[in-house]
Amino acid sequence: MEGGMFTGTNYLLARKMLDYTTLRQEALASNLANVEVAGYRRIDVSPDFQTELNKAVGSGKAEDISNLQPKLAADLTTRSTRGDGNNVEMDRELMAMNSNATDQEYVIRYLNYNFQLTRTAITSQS
Amino acid sequence: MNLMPGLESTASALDAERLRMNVVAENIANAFTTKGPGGTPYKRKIVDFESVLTAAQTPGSTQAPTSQVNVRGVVEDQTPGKLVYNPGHPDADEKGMVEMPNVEMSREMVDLIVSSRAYEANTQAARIARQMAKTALTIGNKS
Repeated sequence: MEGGMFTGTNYLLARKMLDYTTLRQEALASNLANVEVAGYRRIDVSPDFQTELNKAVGSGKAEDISNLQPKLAADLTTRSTRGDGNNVEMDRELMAMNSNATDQEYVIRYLNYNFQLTRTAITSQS
Repeated sequence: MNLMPGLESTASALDAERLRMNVVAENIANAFTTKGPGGTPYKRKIVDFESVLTAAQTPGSTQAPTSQVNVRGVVEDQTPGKLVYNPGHPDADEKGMVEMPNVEMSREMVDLIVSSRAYEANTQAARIARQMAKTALTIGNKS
């Protein structure tokens, strides 16, 4: 592993994805909490995070990945289906929450798997 | 230290929706109360929700802030209730009309259903946040 275990692009990518899933859960919780408030507009992680992350991974430079920060932004694409301007749909938020939690679990399993491999390599015991 | 993401928003929603359910229950219980403590018929209560930011937005920040829900107040709906002809009623006026509370059962039931759904959704959010925290605590564990 070039540069050691904690500076490789895969590890940094996993860390960034954990930042992303935690931030996204905060946004989705905020949306669900305000599902009944007139005029509330839903927020989410800004969509360019995914494209920027893909670019950073493609470039192969570790600083590109670690310098990237996920940010919350108002969701401008979802239209309000209610008269009071609130554009939060309960089921959609819950589905997004479930898939977000699964993403986080996937990343953590990946990390734990890599730590386990390293542990096996160091101790030569599995 | 906050291990569970979105905890403040979720907790505020559980509080607010529970209050709303209590208010709706009070309305339903008083649907036929023609004389309240002030001598007038019961008037239905409405809960006023608003969004407040979970934390003050740092100046110059471009990030959208997260919000929690706050109960601005519980107000009485002053719409006059229906007048019903019931001359034998103790609260009937000289024409035999009784003013009933302005509580409509169908509207209150819909509010109750919506409120309890929102409450359930937020308990689900709390469950998911706790699950995420537990998963995060397994990082580095020997499997």
